[in-house]
Amino acid sequence: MLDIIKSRRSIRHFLETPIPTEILYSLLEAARWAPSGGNNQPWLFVIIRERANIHKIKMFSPGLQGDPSALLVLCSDGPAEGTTAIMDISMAAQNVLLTATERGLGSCVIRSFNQSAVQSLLHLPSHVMPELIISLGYPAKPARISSRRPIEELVHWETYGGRSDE
Amino acid sequence: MNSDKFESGMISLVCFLAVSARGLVDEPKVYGPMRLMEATHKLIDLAKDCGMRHELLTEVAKRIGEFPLDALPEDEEEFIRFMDDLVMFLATWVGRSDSTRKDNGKED
Repeated sequence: MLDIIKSRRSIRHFLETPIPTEILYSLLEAARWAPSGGNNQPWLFVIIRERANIHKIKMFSPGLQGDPSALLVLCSDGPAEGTTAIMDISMAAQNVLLTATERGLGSCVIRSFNQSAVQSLLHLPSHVMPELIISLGYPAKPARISSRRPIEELVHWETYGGRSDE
Repeated sequence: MNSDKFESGMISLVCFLAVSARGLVDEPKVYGPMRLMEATHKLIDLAKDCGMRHELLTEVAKRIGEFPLDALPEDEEEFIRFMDDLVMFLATWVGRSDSTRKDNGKED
């Protein structure tokens, strides 16, 4: 699992190869088994595969780069404010990203899009709001190398400033 | 000029700019110049798609296309240096060009 977590990257250059429906279902299965506060499962998912529809969403999503084969839009279903909905949806997104990586897909999470415009384009009812978009496709080139801050800088044992003896 | 391509390209670009403007209110500061660089590239692509060729624009698009815009904001300082270089490249070109010649820099 740690290998998959570490090999995931934000991919923005995709091949035109379509994604088999069975693989898309595996991503959705991963999404719906994410943890959620009170098991509320406050989410809905929209898959977009038609090139023309992807283009329309792209027009209102400055953060969406490249030409993905599919988009997965993660939506809150009901009021998100004052609930754990956004955190739940974020965890569902991570499940999708890791499953995509495992299945050889590239992916990228996008928050830079106009929620109201995408809501309108997808004909979503007023209580369903798009919160995140994941672009999906087979990578056209290897992912760039990424880095993370060292663990010693991030972790405190027992209390702030505490170090591990081991 | 292909008017259909121009029309659809312009609509896409207008959407990109307007949506970016609204989004940037809540987004990190570095996203602003990044979106403008992307828009510059899109504008040159549109001009090219509509049959316009110009050596300066071709070079600007090439430079922006080669810069890893998707690596931001990790490499913010490198991005600033890239924009400084691009601006100086433009200034040098404009300084050297003969603005009285209408075909200045146009490619066949």
